[in-house]
Amino acid sequence: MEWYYVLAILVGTLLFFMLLGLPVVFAFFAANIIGAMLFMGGEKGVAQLIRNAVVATQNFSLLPIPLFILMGEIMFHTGVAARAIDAVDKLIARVPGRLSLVAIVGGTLFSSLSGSTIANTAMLGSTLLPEMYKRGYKPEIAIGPIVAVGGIAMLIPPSALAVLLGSVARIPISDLLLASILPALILAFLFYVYVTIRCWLNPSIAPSYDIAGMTWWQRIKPFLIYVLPLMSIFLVVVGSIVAGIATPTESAALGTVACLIIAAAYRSLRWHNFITSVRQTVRFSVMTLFIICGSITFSQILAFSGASAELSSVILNSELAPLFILLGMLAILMILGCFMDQVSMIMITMPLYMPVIEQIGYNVVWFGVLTLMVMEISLATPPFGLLLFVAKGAAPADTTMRQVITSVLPFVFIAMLVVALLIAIPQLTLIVPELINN
Amino acid sequence: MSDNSPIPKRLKWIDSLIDGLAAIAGIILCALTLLLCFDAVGRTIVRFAGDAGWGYTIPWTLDVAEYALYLMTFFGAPWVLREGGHIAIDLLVERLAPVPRRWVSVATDIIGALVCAALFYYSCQVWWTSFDEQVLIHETFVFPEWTLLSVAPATFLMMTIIMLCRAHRPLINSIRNRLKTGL
Amino acid sequence: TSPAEAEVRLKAASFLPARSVYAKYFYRWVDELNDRCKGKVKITIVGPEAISSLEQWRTLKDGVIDIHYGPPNYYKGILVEADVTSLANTSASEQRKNGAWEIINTLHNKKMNAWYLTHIIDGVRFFIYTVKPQKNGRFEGFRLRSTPIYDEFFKSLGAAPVRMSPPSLYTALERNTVDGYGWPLWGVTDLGWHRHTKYRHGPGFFSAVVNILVNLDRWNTLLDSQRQCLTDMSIWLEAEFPKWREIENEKQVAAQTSAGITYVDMGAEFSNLAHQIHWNVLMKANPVAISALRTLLVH
Ligand code: NA
Ligand code: NA
Repeated sequence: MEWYYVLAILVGTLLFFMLLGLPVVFAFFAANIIGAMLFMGGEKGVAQLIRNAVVATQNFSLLPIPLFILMGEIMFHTGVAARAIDAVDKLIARVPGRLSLVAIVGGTLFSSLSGSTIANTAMLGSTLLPEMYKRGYKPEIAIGPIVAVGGIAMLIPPSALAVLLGSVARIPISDLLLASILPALILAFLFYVYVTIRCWLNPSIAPSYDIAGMTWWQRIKPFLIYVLPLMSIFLVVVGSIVAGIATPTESAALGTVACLIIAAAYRSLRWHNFITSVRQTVRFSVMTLFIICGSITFSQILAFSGASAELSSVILNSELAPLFILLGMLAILMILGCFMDQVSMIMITMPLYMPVIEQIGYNVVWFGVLTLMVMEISLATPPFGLLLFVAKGAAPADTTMRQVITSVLPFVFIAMLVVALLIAIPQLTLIVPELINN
Repeated sequence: MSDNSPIPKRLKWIDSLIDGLAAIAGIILCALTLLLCFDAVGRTIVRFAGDAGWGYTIPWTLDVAEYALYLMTFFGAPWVLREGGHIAIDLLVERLAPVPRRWVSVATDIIGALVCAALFYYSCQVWWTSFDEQVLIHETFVFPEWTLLSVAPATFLMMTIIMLCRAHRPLINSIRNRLKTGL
Repeated sequence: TSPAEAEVRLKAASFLPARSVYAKYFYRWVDELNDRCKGKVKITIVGPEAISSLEQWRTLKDGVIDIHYGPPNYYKGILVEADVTSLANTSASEQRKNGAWEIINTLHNKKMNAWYLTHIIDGVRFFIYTVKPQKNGRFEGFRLRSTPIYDEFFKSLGAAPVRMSPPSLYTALERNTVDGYGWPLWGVTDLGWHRHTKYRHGPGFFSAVVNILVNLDRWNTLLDSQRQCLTDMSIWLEAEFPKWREIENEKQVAAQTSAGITYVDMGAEFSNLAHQIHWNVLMKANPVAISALRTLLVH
């Protein structure tokens, strides 16, 4: 059978079952069963599929995923994160759009403690949104920053998705974790500038209010008590990688224990919130890892039938400029991101993309950061944007999906601008790992 | 643990079993974290103070951590399914009118049940082959491969049951409603 | 041509991709075979991206693939005697003549549902590579990346064996998670490990044997002419490979030396100990076949 039929059958059945509403993991399994029957020798191919599912997660490079998620959940459920946001709140003076700026600064801070975008958005939404609405903030300036900055959690280490991407696309995970820091900070900075300008032009969307008169020390003290110590967690995670003491997995384990120690030191660690954290972590990491069990065979069947190799040789022989190929790949990711989750996006595209990227000779770490940026954007693109749902869940009941989406769109455009910037100046991603590796 | 479990009340023990396995998954997660941390700290001590005979490294960390990740995933998967935690793309289905939407969801649940049943069947076959051939795993520990493989059939069987219960509930309700309205 | 005389297409899986030094001679052989057996046999190869390396033996046994190129210790879980050739000091062509091949083939027929064509990469020895120097012939407190076949040997030298996939070994060396690793002569500089390696300890032990197997059911359905061509090409390979090996050995040693890796001679006892430990393990598993093979494989 011609390779394009194989590709069409596999991708077609996968998308059909996904859009029918079958859980993504079963859509993968269904496509694999059909693919194994047709292209891997029938029943013995299906038996191989089962073995693949069993060995898929017995993979050392996936170990940081549950640990990074656990870190975020502990910080969220023990209330340590909420108190840190509160301290940031005291620090920022009386400016237009104050709470939105608190969301951006606090969300970026929390991103360096949490490997889970969901925990990040849920925490910001539940701590800041009620206050914003009480103060008369319009949805357009309240929800947008929370969703936008929620996605930054997957760019700044710890990041479960960066680990997954590195492992599937065979990009050095330490480099990928370090390379995403600077682009994430640029992104956060532009969000901050946007909110400031927007509220300055139209103060009515975020009415300023008097904050209780506090001395300089009263404002700075909570920051020193509730935020600064948290930075030691970031130091443990990133520092242990940079100093060459730990692999990403070990840094994740050390970071988790650091989170527990800090939560205990604040006397916030309770049996019930610890259990809640573990439960949420099992839920999200099992969901992620089980998709890997289902999807690993998918890329293998594509390779076994020769479809991956043929597709990449067609692309490479097409005489398209490498930049167009790159833009095409990112555009496809962006479109997939409109109706698909990040894990499925990685699992479908990377086996097809990476051979081409390597052939063109692009830097894989840079490409990995671009991929992460596009996925960060797709967390907030309708109709399927995970963070849109999380934010809507955390917002007051009368908030409509339309309000959520319109509030997020400007931030999506800013993020696209940053992607363009990174394509134009690759050095922005590569400088941090290069500095550290030399 | 769950109020909207699709599993009927008289099969409550299945619910408890699923909860129990999820609890084991949680315990595995905690143990895994401690193990990796203990190893990282112990090794760092060895590196800086190894000459003094301090520190300790665990040679089997990597192997056991990999098994733990697998076991956590397969023990937790049925619970995540019951809780509706396996991500699905329902944006097209959501746009349908209530009645066709219900039937599409019954159809996907039946497809899901079929997929799980097939996975259950083939995982039993794989398990039996490995058991019959006495295949061993030669890692830090040498042990029969079927021990690891035996988790998969249990997971897929439980998922088949959950999917069937999910399909069954709206089906029964719909028939009841039709009977009530005299149809 | 009638269908019976048509060219048979065989699907092969290689445990490493073509660019790896351990796979490139297999790819070279397949090219040569497709040329010389034109009209009889045509082999296409997929790599570990299609079937993961550790699963390939299973797919060969089940008949998902027709030919498998992979090291015997990957399937020792089902055929523990398979890696006995790694202890040999006879060549593959001597083994074919003196009857060792026959015994090994029978073992593969029975337990692996496979026909044993031949093996290559024999005579490429393993060494212990480290970052720091050993003390008095001991590796006390060293954490060495190991595989089950030399775990016991490493332990007897005082080292702690750890398990790690080759891709994560680079990071592990960089981060000092391990102090060294056991690895054959080839590939150290290709994989970039030389940047974190200072010493190579020998004399080399074992052989990095990689087998070429055909699914037995498939083998039985082939025509005599097709089987003959595969066998002839195996015999050809057994004659050619030692020449390729010598050239590659020299290249690899030169690359390591210029990367600053110093060879440390630990004396003959070093490799003898490694072999003795492994013979004992194999003897326990299958005394009859192993004692017969030992006299044939070792002069
Ligand atoms: Na993060
Ligand atoms: Na989206």
